[in-house]
Amino acid sequence: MNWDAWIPLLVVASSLLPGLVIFTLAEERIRLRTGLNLFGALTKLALVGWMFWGVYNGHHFETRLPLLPNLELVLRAGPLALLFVSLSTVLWLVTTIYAIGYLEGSPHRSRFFGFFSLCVTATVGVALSGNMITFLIFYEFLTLATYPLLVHRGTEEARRAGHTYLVYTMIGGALLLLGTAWLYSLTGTLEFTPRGFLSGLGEEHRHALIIIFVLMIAGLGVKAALVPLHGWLPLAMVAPAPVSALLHAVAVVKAGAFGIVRVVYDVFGVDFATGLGVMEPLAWLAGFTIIYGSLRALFQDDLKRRLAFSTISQVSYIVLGVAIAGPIATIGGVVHLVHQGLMKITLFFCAGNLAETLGIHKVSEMNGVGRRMPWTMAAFTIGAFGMIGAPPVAGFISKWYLGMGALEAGQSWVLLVLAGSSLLNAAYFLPILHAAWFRKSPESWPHEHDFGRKETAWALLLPPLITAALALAAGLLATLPFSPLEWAKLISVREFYRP
Amino acid sequence: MSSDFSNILIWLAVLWPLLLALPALHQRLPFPRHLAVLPAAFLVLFSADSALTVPWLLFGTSFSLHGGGRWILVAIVMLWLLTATLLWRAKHPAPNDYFTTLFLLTLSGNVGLILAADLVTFFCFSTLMSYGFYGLLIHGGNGQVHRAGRLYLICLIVADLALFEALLLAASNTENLQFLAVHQAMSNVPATHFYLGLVLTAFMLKAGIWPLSLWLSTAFSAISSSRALLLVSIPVAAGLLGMLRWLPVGKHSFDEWGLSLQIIGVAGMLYAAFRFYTARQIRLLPAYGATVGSGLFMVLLGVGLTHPSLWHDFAYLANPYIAVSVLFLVSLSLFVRRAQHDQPPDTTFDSIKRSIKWVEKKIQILAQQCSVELHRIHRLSAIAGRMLSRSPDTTRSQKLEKFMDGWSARMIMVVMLGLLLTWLMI
Repeated sequence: MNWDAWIPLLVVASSLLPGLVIFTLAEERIRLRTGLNLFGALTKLALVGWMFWGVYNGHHFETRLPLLPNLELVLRAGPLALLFVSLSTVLWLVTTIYAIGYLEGSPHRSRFFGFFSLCVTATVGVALSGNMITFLIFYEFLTLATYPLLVHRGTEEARRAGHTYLVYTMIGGALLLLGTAWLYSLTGTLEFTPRGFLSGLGEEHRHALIIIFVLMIAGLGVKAALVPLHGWLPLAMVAPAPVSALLHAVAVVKAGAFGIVRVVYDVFGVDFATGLGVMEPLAWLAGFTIIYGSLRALFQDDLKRRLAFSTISQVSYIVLGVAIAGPIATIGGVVHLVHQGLMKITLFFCAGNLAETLGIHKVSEMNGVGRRMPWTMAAFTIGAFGMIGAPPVAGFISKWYLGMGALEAGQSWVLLVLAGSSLLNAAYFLPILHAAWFRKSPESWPHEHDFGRKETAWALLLPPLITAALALAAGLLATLPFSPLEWAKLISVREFYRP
Repeated sequence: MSSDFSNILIWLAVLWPLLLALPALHQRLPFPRHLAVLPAAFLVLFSADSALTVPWLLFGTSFSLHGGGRWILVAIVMLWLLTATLLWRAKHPAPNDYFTTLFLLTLSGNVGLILAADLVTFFCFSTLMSYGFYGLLIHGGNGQVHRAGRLYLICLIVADLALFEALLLAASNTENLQFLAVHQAMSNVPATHFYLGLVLTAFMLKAGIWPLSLWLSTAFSAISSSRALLLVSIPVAAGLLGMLRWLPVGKHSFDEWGLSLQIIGVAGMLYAAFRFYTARQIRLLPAYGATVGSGLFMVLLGVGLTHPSLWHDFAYLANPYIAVSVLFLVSLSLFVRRAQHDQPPDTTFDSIKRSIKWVEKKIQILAQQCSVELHRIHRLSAIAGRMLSRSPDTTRSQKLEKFMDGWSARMIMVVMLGLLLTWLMI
């Protein structure tokens, strides 16, 4: 194997190895644990940067390891894989900094950071998977690595949420496995291929393929929180804020949405899937989920629960972009993978800051908090406006391409979904901003911690400011080379809609 | 003046207020609100007509400052400087308040949308201005102001959604989103009518144009007079400018839309005059003045949509009209402020009553003159029409004859009536 063949494996190992070492560390080895965390995150960032440049210039990064007879573990860095890997890597670094500040002084930190690293390892593995079997392995690994993080606090509520999560995701995994095995029995290959690998199958397999598609989408839809498979996500908000950030923006829901992109484009192929008649129902399901999630968010007083329902809605933008089945909508869907991540992680960081600094957990407790924590709420404001789709934040770019793609594909009903979603997003985010900035502060906060003259600890404040700035930059500088939008265009041209 | 210098001034006019909006910065500077307006003032005074394109920003951002836009920028600069001065004199608000941040964000959005040369840039700055303005509107306000703020916010959200859909329609018909290219592209495509409907609804909501003016009068009756200057001028000017920039006026004939706008405009003017007369609250005068002014603009726009060829003859008046409207509304606000301010608190109500009586008297006298004038204008227009039909310049005479015919002739009369009504209010 040449050097390029090792790099995808090293990217996976850069979080796996530190994670395994961290498990063995005693609680009081804070510096070593922090050093290992940051070393892993920075090494991964450097390796991904190297691959990013290489892929842009036409290099081929692929690791192949024998797994089973006729099946290999394949890690491949194509443009789509790199988009997700970059997102995970950058946000992992930021979330690690945040988690260090958030968990300061709390018990079981070695366990937490060990699983935290494994979780990112699994996510990167999902992103780099070159075939369905590799994807499946890392997808299930992700389920197992996330569960201990969810129940980290050890409360009864956390255990219940973890149990629900496990039931949902295990059933989802089983459905995905069933679909994958059936597919393998029909085709004899599971290798991700641009424009899919099923076009050679005859009409006699039509019904089987439709069922396989449904099985796979249902399996992936659990993690992507498609209605009615979303039940675990609002419960999972009991997890600590860095885990929520990881679940909603980096790892779990994104793995589900990314899997749907893979299945539609690299397994079935968008033209073939359209011919099967499965894309339109998928688009309708995504549209329904977008509206349903927003409607449910509207009635939540718990801030993290409101954000969780918002995630259900926003992640379906990705599915919608894919299901519209056109190059422009695909760009919108794929770029939202990154944009939603940046905006949602900002919001969860801010929610964590409010909880850690002032003990605020509910929207009704947020009156006047903008004066007490201006920087945190400024970041929250940017994230919220992005979610609404207001320019120039990143969400505007996603909605623009989704809307244009819908018009291009002649699916004007999508514009109504986008308008309805924006309206509902405004209806549940703007009252928060109004309360925070324009209402009078209470005389005392629910549970205030003293951070001196600072509004909160630096480790808690910097991450949301960085991600908010990135969300703003992703919108303002959308047309610059290497921006998420330009990379999504590259993906569309190279992988999905090659002329 | 070199184009580089003009481009720098354009950047500064938009970015400097944004930068100053950071509390850490403006709290350390004397007169931050005045300082923020300075680049825009320099731009108006010292820069030649200029255009700036920034291809790497958003989808490619473009700004321009030309004859028409300069008129509006002059008025806006004067308005912001005046408001900044009034706020400074009133020692409002406290230095550590977020009011200044909101003031500067709104200013940046306002200047940006005037300089915007394409739809996306305009939309972007319009959003910034509108949400900043919402903050200004409700900041420190009572329950009534908050109710008005809620109404404004609802209008704003719906308007932005409509504008976003209009933007998508335009972008699906043309790659170039500069105003002139959009006018060309959207003047005769299947989606034109939908586009027109979206744009008109959006800007009527944003500007508080009758019959979608609910928030304007509600807010006006409760807000402080310094902020009333902004309240009455900023959204109205931005809304009118938006219609002017987004609508393909003068490109194609849209009879139904033109007629509808003329009816809405006239009805709005009459409604404002009637409401002011019955409400008898002098402090609402600028709000109703704004309704009359925007109504008149709607009539002009309606005429432009109905008769595109005629629009070319008076299109150059549209931008100055908006500028003059802003200054007129500012004068009106200052007049009301002075009328209320000059009297000791216990006699303020008497002063208002005296003012109303004075206005009533003027109305009675001038209404008689008005009817005589209108009758004369009507006869003159009929005579002019007959004379022009015999004129050798048949094209022009036909154009004018068509214009004078039917609704338009009546519209001119009603427009003049609107002008008179506004004047009488003063």
